[in-house]
Amino acid sequence: MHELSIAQSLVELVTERLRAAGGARIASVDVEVGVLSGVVPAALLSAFEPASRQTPLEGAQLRLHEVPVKGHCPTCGAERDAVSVQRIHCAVCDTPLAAVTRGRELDVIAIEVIDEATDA
Amino acid sequence: MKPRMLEVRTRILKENDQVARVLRDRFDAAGVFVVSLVSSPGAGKTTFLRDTLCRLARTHRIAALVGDLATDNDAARLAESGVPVRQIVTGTVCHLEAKMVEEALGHWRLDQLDYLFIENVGNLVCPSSYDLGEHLRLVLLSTTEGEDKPLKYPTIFNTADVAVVTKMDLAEAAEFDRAAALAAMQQVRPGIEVLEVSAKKGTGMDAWLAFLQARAAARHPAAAG
Repeated sequence: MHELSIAQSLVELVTERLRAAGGARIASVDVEVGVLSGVVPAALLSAFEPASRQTPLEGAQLRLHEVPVKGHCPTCGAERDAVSVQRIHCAVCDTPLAAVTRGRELDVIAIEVIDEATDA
Repeated sequence: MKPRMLEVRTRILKENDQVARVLRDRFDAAGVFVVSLVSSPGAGKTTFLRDTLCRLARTHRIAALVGDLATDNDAARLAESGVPVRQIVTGTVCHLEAKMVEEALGHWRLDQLDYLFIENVGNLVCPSSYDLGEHLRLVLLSTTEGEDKPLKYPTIFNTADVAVVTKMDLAEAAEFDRAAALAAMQQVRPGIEVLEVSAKKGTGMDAWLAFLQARAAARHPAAAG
């Protein structure tokens, strides 16, 4: 279980961006999680709550977007989906994919910034 | 006031990635070839590594870092090889991160080394997310673990550069389905090089060392020898 340390890195990164943007709090965070990132989405979601407590991210919504595996198919000569995470072969022609191009993401893609601290 | 949406597009582990990049540059500048080892607990990482150290130490300058949750048993076993070994106690952390490697290296003179080995914590999940600055990531699978491990833990096999099947001497007793294991590894990491060894009987170790030295020579042509 390394999702708690991932969640802490996420909170640090977003807090940094929030300060740079001059905002007060975070309403939501969008994160892409590749199926080959080594991170379990459900575990990251449950780790986010304790990691965000008493930070500008407390109460923010964390939206995780799963990214399937894609790679270069030498037969099709194009980027193709993999059959599954257990079979990194072209979903169209079943040739083994030469290189994984997507599916390793663990990226913050967007944050929703609230500018003024409002009284609860 | 209405919240505003900001595009960010940043790796969550960017700090780890940065430290790993700096480490890799440092390794390259020193001409040291760095190998990390990952596997489940009990797959034979330490035995395999000890054997590798013993054989390689005859002709090369080597050192090792060992990650362990709480004990220094593995470091003590590796030190039997006579090679300098440093322990990284991770405490409750289930994996090594680049900054732990950086701290453990301290002021070690990397330019006086040909190879550095980093034994990760026994874990097939968490280490896969963290770049340690290594040149080669080696995943071990023992014949006693079951041939479907690569399908259960595809990420770690997919991020590895080479796979080593250990305890080949026990393959028959464990009813290890070699063909199924090889197929599973090729499915999750097409084209992965697979080596088969038995540290106990010493088989496969020459092929592994030849593979390792070829990889090191390709990375640092000037330092090869």
